[in-house]
Amino acid sequence: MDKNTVLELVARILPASQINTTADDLYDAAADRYKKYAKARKVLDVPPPAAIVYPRTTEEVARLLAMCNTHGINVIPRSGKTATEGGLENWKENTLVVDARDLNRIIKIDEYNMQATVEAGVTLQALENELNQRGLTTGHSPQSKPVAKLGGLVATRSIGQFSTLYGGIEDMVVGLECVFPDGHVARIKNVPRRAGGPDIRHIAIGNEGTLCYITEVTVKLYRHFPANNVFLGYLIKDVASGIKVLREVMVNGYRPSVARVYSEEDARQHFSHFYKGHCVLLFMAEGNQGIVQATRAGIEAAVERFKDGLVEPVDSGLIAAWFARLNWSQKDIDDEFQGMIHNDSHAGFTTEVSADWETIPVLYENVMKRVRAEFPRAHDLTMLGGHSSHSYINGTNLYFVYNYAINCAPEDELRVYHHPIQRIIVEETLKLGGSMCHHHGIGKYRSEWTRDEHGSAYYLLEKLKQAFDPNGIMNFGTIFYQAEGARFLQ
Amino acid sequence: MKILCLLKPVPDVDQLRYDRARNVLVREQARLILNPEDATAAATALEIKRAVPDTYLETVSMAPRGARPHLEDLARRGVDQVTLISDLRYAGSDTWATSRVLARYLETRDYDCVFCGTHTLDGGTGQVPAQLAELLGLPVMVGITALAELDPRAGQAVVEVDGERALLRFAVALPAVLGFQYNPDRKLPYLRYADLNRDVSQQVVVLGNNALGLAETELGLRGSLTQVRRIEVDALETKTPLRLRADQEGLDTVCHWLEQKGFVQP
Amino acid sequence: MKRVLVYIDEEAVEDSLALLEIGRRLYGEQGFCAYALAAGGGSGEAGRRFDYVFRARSGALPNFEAAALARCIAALHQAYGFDVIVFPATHWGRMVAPRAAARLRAGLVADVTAVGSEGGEIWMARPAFSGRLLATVVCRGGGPVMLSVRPRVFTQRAPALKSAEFIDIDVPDTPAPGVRLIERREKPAVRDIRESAVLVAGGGGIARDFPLLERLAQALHGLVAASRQAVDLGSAPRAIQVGQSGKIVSPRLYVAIGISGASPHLAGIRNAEYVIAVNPDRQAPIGSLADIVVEGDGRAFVEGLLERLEAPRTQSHGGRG
Ligand SMILES: Cc1cc2nc3c(=O)[nH]c(=O)nc-3n(C[C@H](O)[C@H](O)[C@H](O)COP(=O)(O)OP(=O)(O)OC[C@H]3O[C@@H](n4cnc5c(N)ncnc54)[C@H](O)[C@@H]3O)c2cc1C
Repeated sequence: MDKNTVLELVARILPASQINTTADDLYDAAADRYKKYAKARKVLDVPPPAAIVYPRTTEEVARLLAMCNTHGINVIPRSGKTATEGGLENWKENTLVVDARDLNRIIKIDEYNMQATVEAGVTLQALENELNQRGLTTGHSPQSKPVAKLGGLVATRSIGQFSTLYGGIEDMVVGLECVFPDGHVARIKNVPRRAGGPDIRHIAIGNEGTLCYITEVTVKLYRHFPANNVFLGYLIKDVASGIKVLREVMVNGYRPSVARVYSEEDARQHFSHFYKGHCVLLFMAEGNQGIVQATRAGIEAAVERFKDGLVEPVDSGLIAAWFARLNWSQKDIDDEFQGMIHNDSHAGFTTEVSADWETIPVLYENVMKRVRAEFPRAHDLTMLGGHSSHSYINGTNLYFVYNYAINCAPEDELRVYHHPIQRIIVEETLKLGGSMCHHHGIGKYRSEWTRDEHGSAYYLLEKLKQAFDPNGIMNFGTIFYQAEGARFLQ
Repeated sequence: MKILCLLKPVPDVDQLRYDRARNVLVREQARLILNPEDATAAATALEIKRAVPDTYLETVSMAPRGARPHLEDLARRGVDQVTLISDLRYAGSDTWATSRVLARYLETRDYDCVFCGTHTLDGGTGQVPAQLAELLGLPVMVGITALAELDPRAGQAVVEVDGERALLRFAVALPAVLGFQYNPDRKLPYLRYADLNRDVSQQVVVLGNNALGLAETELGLRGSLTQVRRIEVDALETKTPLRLRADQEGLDTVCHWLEQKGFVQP
Repeated sequence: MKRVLVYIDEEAVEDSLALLEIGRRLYGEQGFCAYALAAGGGSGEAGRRFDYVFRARSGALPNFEAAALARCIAALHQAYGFDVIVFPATHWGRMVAPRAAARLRAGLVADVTAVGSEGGEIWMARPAFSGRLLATVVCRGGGPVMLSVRPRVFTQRAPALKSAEFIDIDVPDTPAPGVRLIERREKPAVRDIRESAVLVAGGGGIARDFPLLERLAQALHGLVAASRQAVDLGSAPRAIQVGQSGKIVSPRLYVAIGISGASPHLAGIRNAEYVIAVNPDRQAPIGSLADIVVEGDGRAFVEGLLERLEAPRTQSHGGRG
């Protein structure tokens, strides 16, 4: 089939105003932030999709998917375009990007039952703005909040900066509506809890567009007390000391909304104005007064208990000011893009993993050592470090952060720099029994290890794919390894 | 045509630390980068080589051995020979001692022109090009923004220089030492993936004082004519700024400060 | 009596003359005899401030003739035995000085910003590593102490008027002049902010008053730059945007007005030697790179500063070098 046939088929379902074939937009749709540098330099090696379409109703989504299913056309669901792991990258000639731009209604804010229902294309920021006016919040606050949309946020199992209190998106979604490749529309109802068989929400949450298209989401609401926020910061000796404090706070039952430890190098890029060459530990407590005070006391007690690792406290005003500027807007993203065109540099790459308390400090050291010893371009690294930013009762995450002087052609950048480092991180994590993907999703470039990530449980994933997407039209190459796409994986 | 290009790997100033206890600058952890002005010079030379393929380009660096991976990349970028002059006895060399080592090596080479940057990021004295020229008896020009012509047969180069007041064009007799100014748009060519692990050991020449044979008294600290007595690094740590208000007193202080630092004439 | 030779760069005569101050600092007003080498011009002005002024007998020897100038200086040193030889750290001064030092086998310290003597030994301080540290350096060996001095760091308080003796010197034989000037064009007005030694940068906090910044930039002989926010607000063209996504600059002085200093912006100015930050918010991250933080309204600050800088200068301002 050629692209024109695809366009003809689409034209039978949608009016021309909902179909985009502008060359620039198609180029942009060929890849996401994973290949940001090659994209900015106009040297992408992946094909553009045939078209971007903007359905306005669930009905239209269903007809589009069914049509693609019949004709074997690859579908890439798309919402806010902030994907970082190749989830939006296109590996097929005949691809339709189904963009949630026009599924943009806030359907209901139900203050009494503390839940809100929105369509997939609503940005989290738009929803939060509505909610904040009413003294409410979803509690979800990924750094990409100004741009990311609910559909994508649910599809990637995203997590926000306040997760230690509110949880990840999976803890927030009450119910949702999604469409399967055969055109079936499934509505998972909104109830406080149920024991009605396995929790089927989790088939849609985190599917990364490989099983179904999410059209509508209902999330929980919380009272919002921003005036009560308390910030605490400390300079500490090393990452391991910080992890000890985090664990102490968690196991004592406190739920600060933010609990983070930054390695020295990562601290330098965030806190150059106060880190003084040390690692940084920081917290934010929020909620009603009583909880905030108790949490603060709990944190201070934990810091006191491990004061051997403490260098000195940080003025909390500095932490608050830093936090206020942390989120990335579309403007920041565009700016980084411009920067890549002019300056041969970008904001770096990350790989986010998780493991239990015992494993995390070991993992961190193993990765640092192996990268320094084995990475052939170690002399180009401008920073290599990381932070822990999401803690749980049994462990925490590690967000490895690295950047480098790009000394190669833009089209080679990933395989020269990011891939070898990412490989080390993933291998070390899996070796120690952690998860290689804490919150960005698997995307395309980690699909090589999806089997290893799940081990014998991969069986379940594989069956889901076979059952819901038997023709393999949903987001080819994402999550599920595809030999045919391996040439892009080098 | 044969071009020699001086290239200094310098520590990335953003990564320097100061060890107060030992009163030394810790350079070890700082990543090395090619001095940007030298890179401009090398990029210019490589452009010439692309236009005139029989150009022979050699880079010459006096640096610790740890600089080798950075320098090897130059060979992968098209430099014919990468020379690393490295000797523990050279540690502590000032610009004079450095110029002497470089001059001694250059005397053994055959070349039409010596390229270099005008300043380095680290010391920033800008003295090596002219000292070297004096030792070799060559003309020198620094602050070059553009090379309009390089013609060894006619024995001259035509260069543009950003003087303090005017833009100037000079004819310089070859061989000469030409110091370039940083030009962010003139970059070294990209390394290609296929070249990344190419074995370039044949193109890398490492030599020390055994080969150059300078007298012990000419080396390192002993051979230097200047000596650093003390280093103050307050600026290296986070600065502690002077805090003022935008009132009369604050404005007076700023004015005075501007005068002191030479930004306005008193 | 000590002997101090000052090299006069004909393109920076005032700045060169002012280097007499180095002699005064080291030896006191009466403690030294002042010699000027004004081979390329400026001998008239030098004649009113120095004791002896050397001129080239054969006509002007311009500042780019570094090889010949170095020979002149070496020959003069043979004859007079200077204790100190000072150059202005101008483009040309810094090209001539190293050649002369190499001929004399003398230590040379570049771009000096402070001098003094301690136990009979002269020390010189200079910034290095993009101004991140200050090194105190001494010269060794038997030669004269040689230094190039950053212009305008030392200023002279009411210089004594003298009437110099002029000495015409022969330019020593130099192998064929290696450098020939072909063309000279005065600098065009529009310049790249990356090339300016002084930048006055405005952010969102002063977006409406860019014309005012233009005046301040003029008074400081610099250019106007802008933060991304100011560019977004349409106050400034993208060509003058500083930061990771704009231009990475390394001026000697960066005056940031109404710029809070988001990290991409800071990444663009890390190599600035001095930063003055004017901001109503004292916690603004720009403060971390600043030498001076002025807490307050940007507009009021610029107006106040302009009043002072644009006013006719009086003597009473000077002399604090
Ligand atoms: C600056 C920046 C900061 C970030 N910070 C965080 C953070 O703090 N926490 C975090 O978890 N992530 C973060 N991310 C990653 C990213 O924002 C999240 O993965 C986000 O959930 C993606 O949402 P989106 O709407 O942009 O989705 P998109 O980028 O449009 O799509 C992401 C993936 O989801 C699929 N998808 C999109 N819409 C649908 C749909 N309607 N139905 C089915 N599948 C769909 C796509 O096919 C793709 O695989 C950050 C990214 C950036 C650029």
